Amino acid sequence: MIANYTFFNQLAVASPEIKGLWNFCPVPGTKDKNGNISHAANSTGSGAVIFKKVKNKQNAWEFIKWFTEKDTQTEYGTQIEGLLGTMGRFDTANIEALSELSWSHSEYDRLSAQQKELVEIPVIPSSYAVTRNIMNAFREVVNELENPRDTLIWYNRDINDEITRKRENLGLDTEE
Amino acid sequence: MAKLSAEKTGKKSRKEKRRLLWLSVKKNKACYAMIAPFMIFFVIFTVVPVIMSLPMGFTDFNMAQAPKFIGLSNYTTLFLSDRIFVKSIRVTIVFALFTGPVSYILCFLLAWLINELHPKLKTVFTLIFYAPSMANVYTVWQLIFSGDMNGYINSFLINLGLINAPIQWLTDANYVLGVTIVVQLWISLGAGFLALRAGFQNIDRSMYEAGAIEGIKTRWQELIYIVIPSMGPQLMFAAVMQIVSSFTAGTVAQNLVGFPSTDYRAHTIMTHAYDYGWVRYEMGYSAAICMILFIVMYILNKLISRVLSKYMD
Repeated sequence: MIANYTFFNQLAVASPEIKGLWNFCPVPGTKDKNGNISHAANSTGSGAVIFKKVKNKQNAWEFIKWFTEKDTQTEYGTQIEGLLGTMGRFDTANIEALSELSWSHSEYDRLSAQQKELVEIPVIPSSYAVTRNIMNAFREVVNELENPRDTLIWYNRDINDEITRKRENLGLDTEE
Repeated sequence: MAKLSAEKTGKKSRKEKRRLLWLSVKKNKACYAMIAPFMIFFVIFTVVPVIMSLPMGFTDFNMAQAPKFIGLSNYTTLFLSDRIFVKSIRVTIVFALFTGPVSYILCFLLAWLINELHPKLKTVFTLIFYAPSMANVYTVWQLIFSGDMNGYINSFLINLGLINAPIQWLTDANYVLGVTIVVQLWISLGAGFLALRAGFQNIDRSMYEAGAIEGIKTRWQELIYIVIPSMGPQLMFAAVMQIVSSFTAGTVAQNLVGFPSTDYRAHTIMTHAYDYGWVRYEMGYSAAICMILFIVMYILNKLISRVLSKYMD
C-alpha cells in the first residue's frame, strides 16, 4: 500500500497485532536503462503567508522564524505526541526536527533515504486542473483500455486551456 | 373628521391594517419570542447569504482581492462556453428525475405500510428507515462498492461467477452515476418521510368509516379519495423537501466517487458550484451558478404548489 508514513504510524498504534509483522519501505521504484532504481515520489509541503497590508509585519516574520526553527518544531511535535498519544505523531516539515522526534533509528534512516529521492511537481495557479485531468486520463486508459498517448494529448488540451484561463484571470502573462 | 374605521366601512385603510397587524403581533408575542432564536439564525445564515449572492454573481471575486464588477459576463460564460456546466445540468436532471419522484413515492409507500403496523413496531421501523439520512453512510457504501475483489458486491458477483474481474464501481466513468443514484435513494428518506408518517396518523378515523359506508371497496379507492386529500399539507412539505434535496445533491457524489468524479460523470450543478467556489476560488462564478439553481428551484416549487393546491385547506 502506498501511503504516507504517518498512516503507517496510525495503523501500528491502532492495531497492535500487526506490530513486528508490518513495516514500511521506500516507494517501489522504476529501473532505468543503466539498472539504477529511482524511488522518486512527491510529498506535501507546508508554507506560511504574511499579507502585505498587516500592521505588524516584522513581528509576524519573527513569529514565523521562531515557529519553524528546529527547537520549536521538536518541542511542538513531542508535546502533541504527549497529548494525543503515539497515534498523533506530528509529521513536521523541518527535516532537522524530524530527526529529533521519536522515530527509531532504522525508521529515520529509511525516511531520510526516501527524502533524498524527493521530486516535486511545481504548484501553479491551476494545479487542480493538472491533478484531475491526469486522474481522468489514467482512469480512462485503465478502465476503457484506450491508447495512453492519445488520451494524454486529449486531456493535456484541457489542462492547457485551464492554465491559460486562470493566468488571464489573475493578470499574469500567458503564452500565445 | 375622524377617519372611518374598519367596522364602519368594511374596507381597511393602510394605517388600519398596520395597526391591526401590530396588535396581533403583541397579542401573540409569546409565540414570536419562541420562534425568535430560530428566526435570527435563519435570517443570518440563510436569508442574508442568498441576498448577498445576487450581487456577487455579477462580480469576479477570488477572496484574496476585492471583488471586481464584470456585469453579466459570468452568466454568459456559464451558458455559452462552459461545457462542464451543460454536462452538470444534464447530470442534475437525470439525478433529479430518478431520485425525486422515485424517492417521493417510496417515502409515501413506506409511510403507508408502516402505518399498518402495531404501534411499537411503527417506531422501530420508522427509526430504521430514517437512520440512513442522519448517519454518515459513505464509508460503508465505499466498502460495499469497493473496486478491488474484496469489496462486497465484487466478491459476491465473482463468487457467483457472473464476472471475472472486479468492476471499478467508484472510478469507472460508466458506473459512477448509477452508484450515486443508488446511494442517494438510500439516504433520501429524511424529513419528508417523517412528515408523511405523521400525516398518516392524523387522518380522521371517522373518514374511513364514512368511506366504508359510502361504498369504498378497494384500498386504491381509499387511497385516492380519503388518504391523499387529507394529507395535502404533508404532501406539499415532502414535495418541497424532495425537490430541494434532489436538485442540490452534491455531497453524495463528492464523498462517494471523489471530487470531481471521473470525467465529470456524476458532477451535479451543486458540485460544479462547489468546485468553482472552494477549489478554484472564483466566488463570483459559483454565486452565479447558485443563483441560477435558486431560480430554477423557486419556479419548480411554484409549479408543485399549484398542482397540490386543491388538496391544501
